[in-house]
Amino acid sequence: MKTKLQKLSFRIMVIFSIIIFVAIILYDIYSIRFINTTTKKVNLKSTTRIMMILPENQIYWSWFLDQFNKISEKQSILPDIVFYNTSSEAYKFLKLAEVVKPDAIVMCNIYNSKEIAQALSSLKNKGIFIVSLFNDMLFRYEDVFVGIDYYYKGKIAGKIIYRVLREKQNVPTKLKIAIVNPLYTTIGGTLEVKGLVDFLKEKGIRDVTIKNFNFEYPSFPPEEVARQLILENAQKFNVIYVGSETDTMTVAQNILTFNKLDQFIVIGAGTNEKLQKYVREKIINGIINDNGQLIAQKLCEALLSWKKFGHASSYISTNFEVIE
Amino acid sequence: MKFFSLQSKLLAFFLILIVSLLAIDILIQYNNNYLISLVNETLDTINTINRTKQDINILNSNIQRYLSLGDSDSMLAVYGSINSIDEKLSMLESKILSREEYLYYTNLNALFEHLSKLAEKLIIYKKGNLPLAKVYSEYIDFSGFLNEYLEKFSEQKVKFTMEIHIKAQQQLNTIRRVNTAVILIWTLFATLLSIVFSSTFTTPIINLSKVANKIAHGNLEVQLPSYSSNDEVAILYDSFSNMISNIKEMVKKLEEKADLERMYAQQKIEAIKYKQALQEAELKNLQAQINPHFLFNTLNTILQIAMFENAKQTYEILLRTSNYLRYVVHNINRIVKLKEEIDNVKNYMYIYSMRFGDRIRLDIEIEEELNELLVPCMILQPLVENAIIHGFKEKESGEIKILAKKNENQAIIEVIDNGRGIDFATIENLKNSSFEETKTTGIGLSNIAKRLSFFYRIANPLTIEANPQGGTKVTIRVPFLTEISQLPKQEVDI
Repeated sequence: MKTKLQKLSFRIMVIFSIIIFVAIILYDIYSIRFINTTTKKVNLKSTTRIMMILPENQIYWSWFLDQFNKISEKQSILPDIVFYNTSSEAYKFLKLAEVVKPDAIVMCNIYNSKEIAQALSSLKNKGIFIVSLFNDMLFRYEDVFVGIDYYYKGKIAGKIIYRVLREKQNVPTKLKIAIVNPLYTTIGGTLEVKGLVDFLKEKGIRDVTIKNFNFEYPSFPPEEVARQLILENAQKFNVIYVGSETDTMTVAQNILTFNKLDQFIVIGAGTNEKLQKYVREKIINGIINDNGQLIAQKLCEALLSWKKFGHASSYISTNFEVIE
Repeated sequence: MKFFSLQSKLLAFFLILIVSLLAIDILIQYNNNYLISLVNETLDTINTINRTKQDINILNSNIQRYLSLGDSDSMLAVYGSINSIDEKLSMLESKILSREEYLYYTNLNALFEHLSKLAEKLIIYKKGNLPLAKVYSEYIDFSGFLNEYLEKFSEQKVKFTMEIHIKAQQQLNTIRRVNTAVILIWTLFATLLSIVFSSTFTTPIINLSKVANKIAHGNLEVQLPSYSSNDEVAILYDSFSNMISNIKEMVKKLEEKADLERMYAQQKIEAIKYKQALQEAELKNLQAQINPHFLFNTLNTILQIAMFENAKQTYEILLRTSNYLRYVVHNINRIVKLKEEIDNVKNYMYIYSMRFGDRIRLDIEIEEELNELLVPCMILQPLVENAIIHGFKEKESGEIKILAKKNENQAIIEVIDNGRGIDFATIENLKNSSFEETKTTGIGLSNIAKRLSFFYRIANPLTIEANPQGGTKVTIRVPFLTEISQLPKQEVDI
């Protein structure tokens, strides 16, 4: 056996070496080929160019845009995303769209501006596909609405509030709710508030007072809102309903800082793990998240459907993720 | 170089290694070069974008100047700036690498086209003195958009390059890690196999060295282990095996030669012993022929009778005969003085003359100091006897002359006769020591020569030659020694 192994040792070594080194070379070539192909020019002619016009704040939109960028890349959709701070900026972007002529415009408008309406009309006349994102403020010029069923979202929030009250065995007939949202969710918020109030009234809470704390970043720091609501609480709110992750974190931390546990029912939003911990510790009573991935998916499907078939469903709404 | 020789195997093996490592290195090098070129191209693009931005600023200035001055130079400068921007934007097209860049480039083109139209519109409005504030405002907005998109293009370029660079670096690091891990595993495996492989030629060499060591200690019967291969070690084994066979054969031949020499030496020793024994026997035989004491007592009695009867001549011959016999019969190995030898010769010649008359005359001429020369016993009388017997066999009368003289440290004794002479064949016989005569005292020339040679430790002490005047001349040349202590060490009887 030993003699046989000795005789074969050189051949084994040579064959093994050849296999190993050929494998390494092939692996290296394959890997380097991967590096090079990443920079190969792709056929960009068949892509769908869109201009997405969103209100500031850019950081806020990451929950949706991260998902949208991933999906749109796979679907050969090229988004040119711009953020506006004022109605005139929104108008200029629409004029820009008129010049660069994208295949579609996806807009979340928060301004009831005549100029914006005119620009949208002009774009519509030029055959540009218009998508209204998250709200229906495109003066009926939109071809498709993609967003959330805010009425249902409001009912979900009402459900969480009612559950907490029942757990406390103290369902009042009067309830004061503070809604803390960035400005751009105002329109959606109307439906949301309606859903919330309708649900609570249905459950016997007849006197529901709603107070909106809408603000524009960064002019109105959420810290200040949270301090007013939690520490001072001059208006004696029972519920704080927050629409963004950053603001939810701020409210939760202030409740902890000022030791106001059990004084508020808090409903927040966001995917941060810390928020989930707060929910487990009952600092926050529930989280309602818009499903960014699903919205992005639906939006891309609508764009491709229009591009391919010339039409798409006019109203596309998605559900939410609820943590309680 | 054989294909399966160790050298070719090792060469092939290392060639595979070197080529493989070289290929890996070239691939990595190629990729590094690619990354460098990518970065260079990005820098070049950014440079183009910056220069385009400068051109846009220049265009804005030119538009402003034209709107305020309305001169043709400003107008030409506006068109010049537009052309310059157009040229640079065209250059950007070849730099597009990502979908985002494509998007921004498309927008840039559309914006530039619109901006150019606005610029032309402004020129026309200025020429026609039409209100141009709204158009100019739009121009400024779109000029800003153009700059923004250039900025976006630039950022995207950097972002894309960074992404590629990071991705490529990660990929290269992965490649390096994988290569290192695989090479380490290979090294481990190859080391183990190398140990096994090296033992294929070290084991037979170790076995060979053990056999060589045993052979060095004289064990030629050791067996070389079998080795069947086609490499250098096999050649070494064959050569070593042949060497062992040759050594064995040589040793055998040497042993045979040594046996022969030993046998020859033994035979020689036995011959010498035989000769010595023969001589001793001869001497003993001679001695045994006479009972010396009885003979001498008898001769003394006769001598006394001859003296009482006053027979002077009888007394004289008996006295001489008695002296002669006493001299001869006594130990032949003894050392005597030349004078004693001469006296003995005289006694012999007296006896001879009594028997055969005075037909042969003895003439003796000896230098005085030579009388003390030490010589072996019985060297002159046999020479005289030979001269009488052979020289005067067929001659009525003659003369024998004994001459002794000193020449430097040498004594020269000559016995010369004027007999019939001696022929060449006889001389050769005498020289060859084969001339023995039973009728004489039995002591031949060769015996005398041998004894002289042994006595003085010299070669050729005796020469024999024909006398120019007729007859024979025997010459003895020996060192002039008068003391026993001067003689070479030997067993002597005095």
